[in-house]
Amino acid sequence: MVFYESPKGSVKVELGNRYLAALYAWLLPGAGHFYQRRYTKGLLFSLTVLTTYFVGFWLGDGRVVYASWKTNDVRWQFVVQCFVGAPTFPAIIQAVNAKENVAPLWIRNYRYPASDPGGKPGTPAFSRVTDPKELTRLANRKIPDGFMAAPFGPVTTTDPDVLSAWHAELGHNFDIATLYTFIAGLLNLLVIYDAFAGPGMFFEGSEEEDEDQDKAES
Amino acid sequence: MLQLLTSHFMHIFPLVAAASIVYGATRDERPTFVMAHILRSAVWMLVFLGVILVVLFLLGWWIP
Repeated sequence: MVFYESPKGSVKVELGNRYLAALYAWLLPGAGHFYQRRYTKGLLFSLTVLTTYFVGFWLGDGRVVYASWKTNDVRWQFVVQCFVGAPTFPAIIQAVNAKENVAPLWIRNYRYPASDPGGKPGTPAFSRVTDPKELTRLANRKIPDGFMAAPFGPVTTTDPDVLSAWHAELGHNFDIATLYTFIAGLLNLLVIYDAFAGPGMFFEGSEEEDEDQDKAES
Repeated sequence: MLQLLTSHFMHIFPLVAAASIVYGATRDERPTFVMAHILRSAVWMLVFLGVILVVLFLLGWWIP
């Protein structure tokens, strides 16, 4: 059994199997603390990290967490986002599944191909197909949008593509949502550290301050 | 500018709240000390970001 003890010995925490606690903390924010029976902190971390993550996820319409290493779309932010753990696993499954011309899993909606923007003037390239008749007409030319999947097809810096359609639809929210989910990942790194090594009390207040605090608490 | 202040800058507050809660709670185990850390880190982050905002605003105003 491993214990954490603060520099002056006023705080002692039972860490249990710290490697297992860190793994749980990564899999689900706060779960490592629940394993160590630090319930209040576990609940606090769980609520804070998951709320931050899911607010970002909602702001970004579920499109900002995906894994992609394609040319012109290296999604480096995912390296940090994936520290939120299980909620990001569908993106990893989609990335493993992704091969050229293979449709993603869990398709949410379809888009018009670049060559066929719906036949209506003014319709932007890669806009969403909402009419069921159009879905039938397009047959296998329609472009799938998968849940937490990378934008389908090549991404270029000169021509419209699925990623640029996402940006056009979400506007600034694409970046704001990326920021929320990114910060959630960074915060869970701190949570994993806390589960693994205990609180980062590199400096403790003076004994007088501690006594004052104890009196205030009692 | 006013439009920005009332829209995207508003995201600063929930993000600073989340960051200070998690950071503050990883600094101690005792609830009162955790609260003190949370408040201190929230004020510190807001002041830091506020200074950057003012500097950028002045630069934007000074540089045509």
